[in-house]
Amino acid sequence: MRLRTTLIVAFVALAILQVAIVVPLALRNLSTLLSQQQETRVDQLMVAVNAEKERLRTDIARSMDELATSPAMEDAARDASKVPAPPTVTHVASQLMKPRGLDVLALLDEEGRTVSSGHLPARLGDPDDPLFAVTKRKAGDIVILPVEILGESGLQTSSAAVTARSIEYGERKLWAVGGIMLNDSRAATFAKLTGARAELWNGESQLAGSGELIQPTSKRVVALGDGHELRFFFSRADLQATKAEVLRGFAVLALVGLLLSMLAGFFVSRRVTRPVEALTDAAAKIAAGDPGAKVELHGASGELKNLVDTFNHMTDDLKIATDKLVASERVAAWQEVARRVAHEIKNPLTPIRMSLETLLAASQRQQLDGKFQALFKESAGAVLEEVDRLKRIVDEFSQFARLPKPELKPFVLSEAVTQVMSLYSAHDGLTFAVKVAPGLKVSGDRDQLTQVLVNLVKNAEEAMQGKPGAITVSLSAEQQQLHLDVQDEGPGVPADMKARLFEPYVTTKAHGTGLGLAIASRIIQEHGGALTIHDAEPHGARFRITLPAL
Amino acid sequence: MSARRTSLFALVLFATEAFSGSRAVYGGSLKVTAITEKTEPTAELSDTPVEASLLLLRQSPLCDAVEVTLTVSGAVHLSPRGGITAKSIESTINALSKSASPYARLLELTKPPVLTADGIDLDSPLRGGDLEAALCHPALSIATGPFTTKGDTLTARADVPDGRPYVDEIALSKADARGAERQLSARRTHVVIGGTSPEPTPAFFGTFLVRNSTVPESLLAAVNSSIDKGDLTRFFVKPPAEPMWTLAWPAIDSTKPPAPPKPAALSPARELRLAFDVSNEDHRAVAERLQVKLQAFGYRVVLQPLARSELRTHWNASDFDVLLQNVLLTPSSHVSATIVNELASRTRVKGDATAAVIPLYVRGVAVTAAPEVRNLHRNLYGLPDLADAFLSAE
Repeated sequence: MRLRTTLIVAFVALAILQVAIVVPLALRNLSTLLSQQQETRVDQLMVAVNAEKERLRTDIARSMDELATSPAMEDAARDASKVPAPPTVTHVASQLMKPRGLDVLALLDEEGRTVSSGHLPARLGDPDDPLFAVTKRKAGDIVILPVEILGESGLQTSSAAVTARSIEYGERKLWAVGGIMLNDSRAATFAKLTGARAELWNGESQLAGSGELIQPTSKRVVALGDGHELRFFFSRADLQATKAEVLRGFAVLALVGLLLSMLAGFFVSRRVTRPVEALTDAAAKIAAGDPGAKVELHGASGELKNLVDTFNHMTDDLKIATDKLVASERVAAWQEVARRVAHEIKNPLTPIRMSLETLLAASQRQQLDGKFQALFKESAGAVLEEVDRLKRIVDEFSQFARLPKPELKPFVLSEAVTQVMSLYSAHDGLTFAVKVAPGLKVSGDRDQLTQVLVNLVKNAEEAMQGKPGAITVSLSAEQQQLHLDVQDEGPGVPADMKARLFEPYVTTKAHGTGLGLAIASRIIQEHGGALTIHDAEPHGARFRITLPAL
Repeated sequence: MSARRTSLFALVLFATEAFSGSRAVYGGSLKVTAITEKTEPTAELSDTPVEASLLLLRQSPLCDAVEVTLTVSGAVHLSPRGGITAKSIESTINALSKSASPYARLLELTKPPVLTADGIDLDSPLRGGDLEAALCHPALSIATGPFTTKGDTLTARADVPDGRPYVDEIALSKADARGAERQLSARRTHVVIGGTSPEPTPAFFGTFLVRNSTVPESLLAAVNSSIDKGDLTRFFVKPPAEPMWTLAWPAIDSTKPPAPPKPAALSPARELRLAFDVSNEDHRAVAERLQVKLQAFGYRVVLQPLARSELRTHWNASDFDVLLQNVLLTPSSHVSATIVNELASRTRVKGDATAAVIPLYVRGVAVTAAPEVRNLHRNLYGLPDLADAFLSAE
């Protein structure tokens, strides 16, 4: 990854890391804070609910106390005690009930029969056992019980909180049992007070409810007595909405932060990486053979300017050193060539000189007889042999120096190899094995590749040193490459020679020039391939030519 | 038919100053307050005392508009009086006969009315008091009354067969009971129609519980055994009212019959729709009483308050379980029975009316007048005849 990209990614990653650490922490703290605030608010509301509950109980008790001692109640008791009771008694409970904020009021005689009912006038004259049972409870007790009222389909029961008061008129005793209904209207009061959904329950039966139920909710319960309770469902939707809003805010900030980080990363990395990239380019130029490459950078400062200046000094030094090295290498090369040529030429000169001196001595000591003739013949032969050798050395040097560029053309290497190897036949215990995969093509100079093959086969023959054995030539394909192997069963190549075997003037043979494999290696390189040497099993050497397949 | 002031049907005189004799005085504006929501009732639906009373200000009973004779063939011949035409009488009779009303068979006509040169012949078996009761029923009113109407002001007409009303006009207003009482005590009104009255009053407005054939017959026993009509009338119906023990009205024997044995409660309980006139507070109270009492017999009574016209439509289409129906009975037992039978005819209950109709109570109309109002009579049906009333000059 490029340094600039790395820096941008690093900046963004840093920003993400900050968001990943800060946002959850902030959200958690905020959530905790909001939850605590809501719980506090709910606690305060529940205090208000309990106060309202107590207020209702107090109101019921006060209303009933006032009712029991009111002149209107005394009039009602007087009317009710008449036999028969006047018709006005039918609605007297209703008239007494409404101004006092009561929902339920029944005037009962001593047997529990309804003298007048405010909440169910049609019950007149009938016993009302549930309400009469309240008169048996402890005086002043507020009891929650089901009360019959008129409903949409016949009578229905609804819970009410009631209390009983006795009214004595003359010898007769009346009971006033009254209170409030625990119905939807009452639930609505609590719902309005708390802003929550309020439900009235008797055990597991819901009696009334009011207010919208917006999930999610938290529940609170207030016991009312006699198995009844008020259940409140406080919506946490606002809390969730606030959290979501804050989260959205954080997300926007995080996004902006990320964008700013990316921009900052881009500009900072650009500033930082420009000198580095210039240095990299200069280094690449140096690697490509331009040791004097310089970094031209304006605007760099500080350490980067020092680095650029140092680099430019270094390249200046490198150019000077390289020039010196090239010059010294050129001198060394000429010295090596001179040494080699002198060595190669010097060797034949000694036998030539000795042969000519022998002939000269023989010609001074004796007359030219038959022995001289034989000696002359021998010496002349030796001189000619050495001259031939000199010529061969000169030819090889000449060939190495003037090796032409290969003319690359597509041809079937399989056919060329088969054709070349058909010229070889077994002799002196030496056999030739050819394993050629058919139809393998290369793009190359057929003559030069043939020369390389012949050279390698010749080397293999020489490596066998006249001993019987087999020389194996094989051509195979592997992926997009062709492998042409020449393997002998000779002694092989010492390990210390393998690394230098393809250098000029390196040979394992007594009379080799050391240019054959160098030429072969150069030809193969110019074909885009490679010439390598490997050990053969159980012994011997295997030369492998690797060429790109067509 | 005799003239208004000599009518034999003006039977009931109240022992109040308003109804006492005095020298008649013409003129003046009589302020009348009706305790009702409606001041423009229609004949077919004027089943409540107040509305029937108001109706008679604008319209006249047929008995006031015709002379009745018998033809040789035995038909009842009606001769129009005053400006009334035979055609309008025929239209009134035909309209009622064809209407969806318990009063449709009031005249028990066997044939449509026949127009003659001087009147109209009716093929009716009614005679004497029965015929007079039928002809005087407000449902058979003709459009021409003693007063002409312009808004809530009724102006006396001069061309009334029985003569011009004493007062020049009647200023009509409506109020609730308390408001009417205040107006009367403050002398802002002369006559209050409606409300309650402890005085004995002729009562012809009968309330019946009508059972459809879809409801078990045991409902009759359930109602009769659990509802004490005396208590019901006393505690749940505004006076003047009295219990109605039998279908025959006015009953000769009006003693309370023994309550029948209580029937077994239905199991499972069934729903029972009880329709009633939403504008009738007494009916609501009675309906609620029935709701309470019938619960013990396995009936879950669903109250179905309806406008009166809607109630009439449901009754006519037999689309009800039970309903409370108010009808104006007559002084004639025979004609009253005809009305009750017609009421029972929509129930699809086989047998006579007693299997379908339970009488509950009858009501009259309370009339309270200021001292200066004189000669205030009630007609045959106990309704106030304001055309005869005058304001004392004293």
